[in-house]
Amino acid sequence: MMQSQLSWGRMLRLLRQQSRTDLRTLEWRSLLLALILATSLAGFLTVLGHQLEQGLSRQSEAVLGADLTLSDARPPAPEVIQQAESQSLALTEVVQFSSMISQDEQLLLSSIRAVNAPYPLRGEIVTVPQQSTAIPPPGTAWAEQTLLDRLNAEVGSRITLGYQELLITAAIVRSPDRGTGFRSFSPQLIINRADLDATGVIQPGSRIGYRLLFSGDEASVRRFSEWLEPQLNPQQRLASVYTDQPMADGAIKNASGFLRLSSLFGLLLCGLLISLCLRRYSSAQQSRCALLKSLGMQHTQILQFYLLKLLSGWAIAAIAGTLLSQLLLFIAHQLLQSLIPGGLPDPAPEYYLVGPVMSLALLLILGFSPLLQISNTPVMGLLRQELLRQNPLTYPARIVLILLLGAVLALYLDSLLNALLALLLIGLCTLLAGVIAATLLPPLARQLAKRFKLGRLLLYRLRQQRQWHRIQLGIMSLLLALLCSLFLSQTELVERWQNQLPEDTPNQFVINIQPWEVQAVGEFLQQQSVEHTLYPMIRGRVTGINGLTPEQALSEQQMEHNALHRELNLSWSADRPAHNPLTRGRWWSSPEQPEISVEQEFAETLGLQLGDQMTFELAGQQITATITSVRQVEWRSFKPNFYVIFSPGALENYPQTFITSFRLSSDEAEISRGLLKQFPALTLIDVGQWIDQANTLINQLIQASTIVLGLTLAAGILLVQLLLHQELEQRRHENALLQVLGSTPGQTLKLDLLEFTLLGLLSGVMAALLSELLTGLIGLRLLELPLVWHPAIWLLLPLSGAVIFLLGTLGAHRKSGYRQLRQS
Amino acid sequence: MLQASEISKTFPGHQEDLTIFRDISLSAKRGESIAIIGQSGAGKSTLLSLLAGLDEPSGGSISLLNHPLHSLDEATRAQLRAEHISFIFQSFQLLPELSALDNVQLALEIQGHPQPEQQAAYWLDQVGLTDRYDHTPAQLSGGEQQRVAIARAFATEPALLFADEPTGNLDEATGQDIIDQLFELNRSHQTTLILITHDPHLAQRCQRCLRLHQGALEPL
Repeated sequence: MMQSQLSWGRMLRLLRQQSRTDLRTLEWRSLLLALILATSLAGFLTVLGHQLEQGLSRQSEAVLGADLTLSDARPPAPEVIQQAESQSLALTEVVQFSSMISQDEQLLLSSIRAVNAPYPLRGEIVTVPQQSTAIPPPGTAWAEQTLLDRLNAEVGSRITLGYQELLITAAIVRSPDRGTGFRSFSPQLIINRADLDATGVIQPGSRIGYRLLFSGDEASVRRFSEWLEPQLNPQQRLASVYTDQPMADGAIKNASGFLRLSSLFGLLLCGLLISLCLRRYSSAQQSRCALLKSLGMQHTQILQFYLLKLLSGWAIAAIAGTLLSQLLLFIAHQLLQSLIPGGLPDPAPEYYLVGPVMSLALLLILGFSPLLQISNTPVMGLLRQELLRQNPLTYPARIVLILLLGAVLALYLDSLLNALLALLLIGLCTLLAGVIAATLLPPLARQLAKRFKLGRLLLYRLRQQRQWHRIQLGIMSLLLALLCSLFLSQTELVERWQNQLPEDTPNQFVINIQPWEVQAVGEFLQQQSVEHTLYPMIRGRVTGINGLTPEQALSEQQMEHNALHRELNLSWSADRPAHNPLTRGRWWSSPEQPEISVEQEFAETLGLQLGDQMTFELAGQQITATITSVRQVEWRSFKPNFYVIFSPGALENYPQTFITSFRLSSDEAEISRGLLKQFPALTLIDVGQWIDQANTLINQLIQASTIVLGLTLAAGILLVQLLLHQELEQRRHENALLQVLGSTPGQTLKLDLLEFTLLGLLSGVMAALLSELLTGLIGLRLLELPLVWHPAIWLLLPLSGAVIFLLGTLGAHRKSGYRQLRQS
Repeated sequence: MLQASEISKTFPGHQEDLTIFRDISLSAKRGESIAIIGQSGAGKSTLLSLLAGLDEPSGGSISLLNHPLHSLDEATRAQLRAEHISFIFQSFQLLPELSALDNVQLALEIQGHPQPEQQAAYWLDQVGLTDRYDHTPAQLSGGEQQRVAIARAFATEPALLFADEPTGNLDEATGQDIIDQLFELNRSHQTTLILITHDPHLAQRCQRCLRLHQGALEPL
């Protein structure tokens, strides 16, 4: 009979009737908000991460533009091409380099790809308007939209590259084979290889990237790759769709991983919030449950009823959370638009399910215990209140829940190791910040207690609540620190790095100056009163030290030095560069044998001494010279610097180009335009533009992280608010008693405010400390910036912490009265 | 000692105001014991909170030791409470994190007593809890908790003591002990006692017995 009375229809009606009451309770509202946040965080990051990864590696072959690519700083050797042809592989050659292009008065540093048909071998270049040819015909070029935007150009405009004028016939929407490294982040231009010579920008000694693209059946590609691999020199790089995930270690993959990891803290907070809300909710529902049971409702029906309730709450949160994540995705797309040329692809529909599924998994795992507690409520609880209590979970049950939670997070992060590491790091930081702050709390409070009538009670409260205080302090400290560090990185690091450069630091580099242009370029710059020095530059490789090969002469650790694995820029000079003071030895006067001066850090790492002999390979020839001095080089001076400078006479007969750098103020842009007009084949690099491009990239990633952190902050504030509310409800009874004993409501409010403001202040102090450490570490490791204190954050963060807690306390504070004492 | 004249209390309601009682008068002399009985919801606690200066009457006047409670500000009323009024509750109302000694000491500190610790210890000795100073409420029996509450109530040497169902949570034997102790201290310290109870036997131990019924206070 009972069964028929509590049919599903009736249960649903009861559910509807109770939903309004539920919505009035703080714990149900917080639960819904936590589920919305978890859904949107997980959903937003999964979709965005997937789009970012897909955006660059739509398909592996499309990114490479081939099945196999060989990158080199030199033109490809004929035997490689012959071998590929003998394996019946299709191949094509790409030349890529950085150069300034101009349109009217505008100059822009761009990455130029000169290509031959067929190109690409895999995938295709998508353009607007669509083109009938696979690559731009001679005399024309295709440009990425960012390039056109920054030059104020459009399809149909004419641009100048070196000596050649090119007509832009299409905007590139998407193209494979963008290359790797920072060069790939500059706006790109694709030109026909036939136009390359006419531009005149490729000269002996120019810095050019050559790439050979191969495609064919898998067996042939593998065979060819196995033949080629043992012959590679250190500056050659082979990438294959079969062995490499070309973007696996790329910046975008890292960025997407970073975004996902940074959401973990937010998800953990949501989990904690869900767990707390459910505990409070089930505790509040126990007497109602006892009543329902006394009316004849069965254990399984109670379980079904509350499960239905949780699922209905989840359904609402899943819809709201998904909508919120869509909004955030829209914002993120605007921010990251230029990072992915051609925009972000549409994600597969199943990725939209990750957010709701994630919040459902959290709800079911964390809701398991409270649901069980509710359904096990004894009817006797109606008569004896003490029976209505929550029993803690058994240890095995706790371990199972933690493992389940860990498994869900590992699935979400796609890596068990990352999940564990991140959990450990977040846990440790929160614990450390919490423990330190909680340790500082009592001595601070003791000082305050002396000045306050109810001071001793403050100390009791702090002792009683120390467990919650540790959690609140830890969470709030880490939240504020993360927010502050992001803000500082965004606004300060790059600016500080730029500001620390001396006023006269050169901001224009000119490379590829041919020997026959040296005099004219020098005269041009002198006429414009531009201070400069021209240095010859010859490419060479270290092949011997004191008659031994580097491998024989050096330890494995020394062999890791970057300069041993690539061609170095060498120079020669009669005079010591003014910005390179000697630390050891003497500068040469007119030596009979070749002498060299080496850079200090290079000499120290390799253990080079004065009198040691080094052998270099230049243009296929060996030249040996004696070290007679060691120089100090400030690499960040933006002046031409070299690891090795030869004495005059040693290198004059080798092919060489010249390099110079100088400073132009913003109103002297005419000079660089004039220089390029007169010498179109020079490569001029505007450092300002380079820094701007790097800055934009950093800022875009930071802004995307800010969205994640915003959601995390919302979850954190919600959690702190819930804990505050819980504590203030307990305090309400205590305050009523204090008022009965002779305190005023003002005094008890002051006590509450004092306690929580102290918590806020301390979490701000901990956050300031963590931020200093975090940004200091970033600055030191990435930009070699000295550690600096930020006095402002030591004031602002404690103040923000105090205000958050203060407002939370005032918002949750309710009047106490005699009624509270009667009710208890 | 205490003089309430024609006091009334009305709470604003959604549709119409709710009047708990109207024109109630009551006076209590020094050392007198008065029982107030009444059904649940009759307004006993509301009356008590008005007489103790915890709430303000909608009308009428209350004078405590010649101070017009109804016209004093919150801070002065709190000071008067700290110095002259004590409470004993059905559910003891001890702070769970404080020891027995600290619970008694807290009231003395709020009062501004010069030697709160000695005074608290003296009163715990008086109620027979010499060996329970450091016990928290959770470590004490119900009877012992109510004794701590009595020690706290008398330690401040109040002129007026309100006892709100003081035996409601105790078994009969313990309740009897507590009541004996309460009346003994009331007698020896000449404290005015206002006792709120359901129990007619307990009410009869007071010198006067009043019933709050339908918003009016009638002698029994």
